[in-house]
Amino acid sequence: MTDISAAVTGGTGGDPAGAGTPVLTLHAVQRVYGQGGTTVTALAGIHLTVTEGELVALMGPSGSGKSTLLHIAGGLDRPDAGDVVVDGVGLGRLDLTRLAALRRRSVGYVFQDLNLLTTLTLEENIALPLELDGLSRRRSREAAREALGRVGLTELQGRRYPDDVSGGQRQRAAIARAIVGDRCLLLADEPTGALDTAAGDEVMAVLRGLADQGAAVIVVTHDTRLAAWADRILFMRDGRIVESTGDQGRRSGPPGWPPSDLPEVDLEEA
Amino acid sequence: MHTGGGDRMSIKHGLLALLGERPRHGYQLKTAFEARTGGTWPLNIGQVYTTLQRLERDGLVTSQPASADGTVIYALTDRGRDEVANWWSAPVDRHPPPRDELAIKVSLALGASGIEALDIVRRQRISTVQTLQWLTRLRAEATAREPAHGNGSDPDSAVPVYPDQATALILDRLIFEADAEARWLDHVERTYGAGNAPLRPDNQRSTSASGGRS
Repeated sequence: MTDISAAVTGGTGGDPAGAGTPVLTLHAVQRVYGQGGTTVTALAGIHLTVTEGELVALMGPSGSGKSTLLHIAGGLDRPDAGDVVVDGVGLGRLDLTRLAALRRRSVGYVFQDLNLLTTLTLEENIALPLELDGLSRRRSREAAREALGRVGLTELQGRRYPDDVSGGQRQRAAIARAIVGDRCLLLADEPTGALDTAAGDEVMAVLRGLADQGAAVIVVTHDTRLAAWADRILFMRDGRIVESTGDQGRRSGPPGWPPSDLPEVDLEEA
Repeated sequence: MHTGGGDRMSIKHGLLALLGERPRHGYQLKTAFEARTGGTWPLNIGQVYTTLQRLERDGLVTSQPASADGTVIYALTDRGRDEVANWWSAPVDRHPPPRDELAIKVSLALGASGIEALDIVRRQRISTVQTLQWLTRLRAEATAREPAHGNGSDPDSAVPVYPDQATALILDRLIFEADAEARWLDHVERTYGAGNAPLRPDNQRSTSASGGRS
């Protein structure tokens, strides 16, 4: 069982037990907002490694630092101290142009307010960032259709407009836009916030599937039931990771329960 | 969360309900019960026969003499049929509430000296959330499998039997239970944790008052 005191004092919850290739590493990351006597410590020394194929859920009360952590992990904000490494590249050494290039190439973001353009179809929405990045229209559309498939949407659904599909499908399209072009790190801030439970499960199943295909995914959520799709659940408080499930959760429970090889008898006879 | 009495009741009535569909022998009852509840609660064959003997003693089932291959077929009596009908029509009785080890443990910790109740709550939450993760994985696997083995339909009820659907339904039940437990633990920490009434014996007055409510 997890040793809570170790997690609290040493930040050990930030390390995966598995031996996968690290996609994201935060080392002693601090972020303080404000100046002089009115400072707020958003992150107070975060150690976190997320590997290929890993889905990590971040939980904690409002103001505990979850969103700040995501912003810094994705290069949208810079730490006041500590190191951030994404896909082998230290973000601290990059100038703004190179940082922007790395964000476009390696990192995908999903937010609660979807920012899908309602005048474009789902497929057009997904292709847009690639077209803006200079990729040909045909190649962009191909990549968009491939991304739609990865989140379980059909080409037909991709030709619909955001207002004509369900909330879960809209959020799946937003995830497709975040992963288009094969980005290795996906950061999702409350992607299920506006959805009912069934649609929330639908979104988490997609994030789970993307992790199973090799992406590193961090998702912020308030809902323990949805966080339970993750390999590791980290609990934040006052800018620190204070507890972690470790990576035992998905493997816990008695082995072989419930038995997967049910009696395959015709119930009539045996 | 689970009580021995409740387990015995559900096996007894589960077997009676299956016999209400048609007569069966002991091993058929075991496999049918397991397939129809997604294999979540495997039955010991000895447990099945003990229960059948008790049901026969109480006049709820009757057995036919062993056939040439030694199998004994059980069927409902009229009283057994009434018992099943009552079971279907009445809600499951939850009074008094079953004993809950976790609630008892946390309540006792509130007044115990040398015990940090908040540590108990936090350790338990990690464990409960790990259980939730595991159940969620099993649930996703149950959904991913093909529904039904084609041969699972029961002519008596004319309702097809989908073992994986049964597994998913029962896992949903366990998932909601674990989620409720995690939310209760959050609530306990928020209500009695830092800044509120400390979970310590030096706060006897307020803790015994809150303990008395549960």
